[in-house]
Amino acid sequence: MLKEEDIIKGCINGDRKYQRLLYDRYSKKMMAVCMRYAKSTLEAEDILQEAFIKVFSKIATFRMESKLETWIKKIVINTALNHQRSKLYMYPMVDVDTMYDLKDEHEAPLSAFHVEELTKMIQSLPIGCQIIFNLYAIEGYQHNEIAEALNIKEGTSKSQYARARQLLKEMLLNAERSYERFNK
Amino acid sequence: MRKEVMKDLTSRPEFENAWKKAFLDAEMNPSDDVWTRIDAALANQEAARYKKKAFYYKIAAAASILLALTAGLWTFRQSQTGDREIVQQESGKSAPVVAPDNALEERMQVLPGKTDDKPAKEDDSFAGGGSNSYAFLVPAEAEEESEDEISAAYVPDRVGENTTADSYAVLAPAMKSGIAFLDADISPQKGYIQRALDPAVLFAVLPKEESDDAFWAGLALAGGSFDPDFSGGWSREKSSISKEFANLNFMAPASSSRYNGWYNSLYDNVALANELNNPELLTPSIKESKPEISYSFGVNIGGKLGKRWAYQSGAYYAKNATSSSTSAVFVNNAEDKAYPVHVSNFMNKDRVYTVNYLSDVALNNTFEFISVPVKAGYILYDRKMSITLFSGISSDIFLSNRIDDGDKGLETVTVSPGPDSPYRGVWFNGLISLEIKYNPAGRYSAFIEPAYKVSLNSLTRPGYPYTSYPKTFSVGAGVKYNLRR
Repeated sequence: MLKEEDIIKGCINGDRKYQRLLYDRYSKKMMAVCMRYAKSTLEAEDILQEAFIKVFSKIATFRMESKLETWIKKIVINTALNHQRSKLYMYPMVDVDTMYDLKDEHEAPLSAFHVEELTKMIQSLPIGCQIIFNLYAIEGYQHNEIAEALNIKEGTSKSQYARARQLLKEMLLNAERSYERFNK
Repeated sequence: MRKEVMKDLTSRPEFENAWKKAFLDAEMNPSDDVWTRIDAALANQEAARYKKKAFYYKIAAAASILLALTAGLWTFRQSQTGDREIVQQESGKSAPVVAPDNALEERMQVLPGKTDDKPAKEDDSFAGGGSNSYAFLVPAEAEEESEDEISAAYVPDRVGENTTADSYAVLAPAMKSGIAFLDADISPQKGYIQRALDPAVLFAVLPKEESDDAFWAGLALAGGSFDPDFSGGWSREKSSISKEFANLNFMAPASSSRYNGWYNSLYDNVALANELNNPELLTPSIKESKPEISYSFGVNIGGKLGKRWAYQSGAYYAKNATSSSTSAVFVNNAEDKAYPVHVSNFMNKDRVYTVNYLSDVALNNTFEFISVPVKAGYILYDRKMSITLFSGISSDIFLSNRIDDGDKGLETVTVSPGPDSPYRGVWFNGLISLEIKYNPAGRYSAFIEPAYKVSLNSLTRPGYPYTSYPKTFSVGAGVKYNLRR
C-alpha cells in the first residue's frame, strides 16, 4: 500500500493515477459527510465532486500538520456550506420560539438504527436545522463558531439546533413506534 | 484520533455523543460517475492553465515584436539621416565635414588635410578651453545667435574653399541631436573653429523634447481605486421606516408555507418592526466596505499651446469595483431565485418579489463607464523629461452596474442605462493629474500619470433615495506619438 506522503506528492505533480488513489481512499467517508449536508444523493455527489476538485487544486498547500483526512473533511464541509448557502438565502435562519422538549426516557437508542436511516432523518430536517445540527452535534463545533461561519447570530444557531434536536427526537420515536407495531 | 473522539464524546451530552458515534466511521458509496466528472473537470483545468500560459506567451511575443519594430524604425530613421548627409557631401562638392551620428569621431579621421594628431590650439575667441573642455564646431556668424538657434546651425567656420552651404544641412542634425560635441583635435586650418563649452552652456543647448506646437495621440492604461460614496437611503428611524416601506408599495404576499410566515415582505416587516420595536432588524443595511482594483484603458489626444500650456482629451473604458454588503434579499418564489437588495434595485416594486433579511452578505459591486476627459495643463518642466499639471472636467457615460455575491448562491443584479435605471446616463467629474513624460527617442514618449477624479453631481438620478459621488484615484501609464515634430 502506498504511503500517504507519496500519494500527496503525486497529486501535487498533477498525476491522475495518484489523484485517483486519493479519491478511492477517502471518497466513501466523504460521501457520508456530503449526504448529511445534502437533501439527496445527487446533490451529495455534486458536493463531493466540487470538494475533490478543490482538494486536488489546493493540495500543494497541505502542510502535513494535521491528518489528511481531517483536511479533506474540512474542505468537504466548507464546500457543502457554500453549496447550501443559496438555500440559506431562500430560507433565512432566524430565531425560533423555544419548543417543548421531549423527555429523554422516550428517546430510542441510535444503535438500533442504520446509518442510512439516520442520514435520511437528518436530510429531512429544514435546511438551517440540518446544517447546524451537523456542525454542532456531529462535527463538534461550538455555537459561536457556527454563528461566525454562517454569518448568523449565536442565538439563532442555538434555537435552530434546539429545533433540530426536537424534530430528530420525534422522528426517532415515530420510527421506534412503527417498528414496535410491525413486530406486534 | 480515536482517543480524541472518545474524550470529546465523554464531555458532550449523551444525545450529541450518540449521533457523533453513529457517524464516526460511516461510509457510503458514491456512483462511478463522480470520478468521471472529476477527471473531466481536472482535464479542463489543465487545458485552461495551458491557455493562460499561452496567453502570456502571446502577450510577451507581441511586446517583443512591438519593441523590435520600434527599435528597427528608430534605427532605420537614424541611418536614413546619416545616408542623406553622405549623399549631400558627395553630390554637393561640399567640404568634407563631420557626419552627424555616433561615428562622428571616426569620420573625422578621414577629413582631408588632417595630417597630424596634434590637438588644435584654441582660438582667442574661445569661451573656454583646455584639454578637459568640450569642443564643438561653430560658425563665426552664429556667435550672436540664441542658444536654440545655435544648436541647429553648427557649421564649419571660416568657410574654406571647399565648403558649401550644404555643410550647414549636414551638421545641423548632428548638433541638434547633441552628438557633435567633441573633444576632437580639429584644427581651424582644416575648415573648423573649435569652441569650448562649459557644462552650463551644454545643458542649456540640450534638445527639448517637443516643439511648441506639438500634437500627440496616445494609448493609456490605468489602475486604481474607486469609491462610489453612497449615502442616504432609508433612515433607521422607526417612524420613517414605516413611511419609506409603505412608499415602496410592497403588498403583503399570500402566505407561503415554504417561508413559514417569516418576513415575507417589506410591508409586513414594517408592522413586525414596530411590534418588535427593533427597526435595526428589518432595515436593509447596504454598505460599501472597501474599494477593489479598478482599471481603465483608452486613447488620448492632446497638444501644446505655446511653451507652457497643454491640452488633452480622449476616451476611456473604465471598470470600477468595490466590495459591498447587504442584509436583505429579494426572493422570487416562483423561480426559486434570490437577488441581493442594493442601491441599484431596492426601489424594485415588482410584486413577484418578497424580501428576506439576513446577516450581512458580502457582494461585489462593479460599475462600467466610458469616460471622456477634457483637460488643460501647465507645463512645470520641459526637457527630455517633462512634467505637466493637468486639471479639467470628465463627462462619464454610465454603461452598467453589476451586483453579485461571487457565485455563492444569489442571482446577479445587472442595471443598464435607461429610464428605469436609478443612475444617470451621463454625469460630470472634476479631475486633476500630474503627467510625467519621457521622450526616449524620436516621436515616441512614455508617461505615467497619477490622477484624482471626483464627481461634481450625483451618479444617481435626482429624487432617488441614495446619492453617489464617486471618487477615483488612479495611476496611469502609456505612450504618446508626436504627430508634429
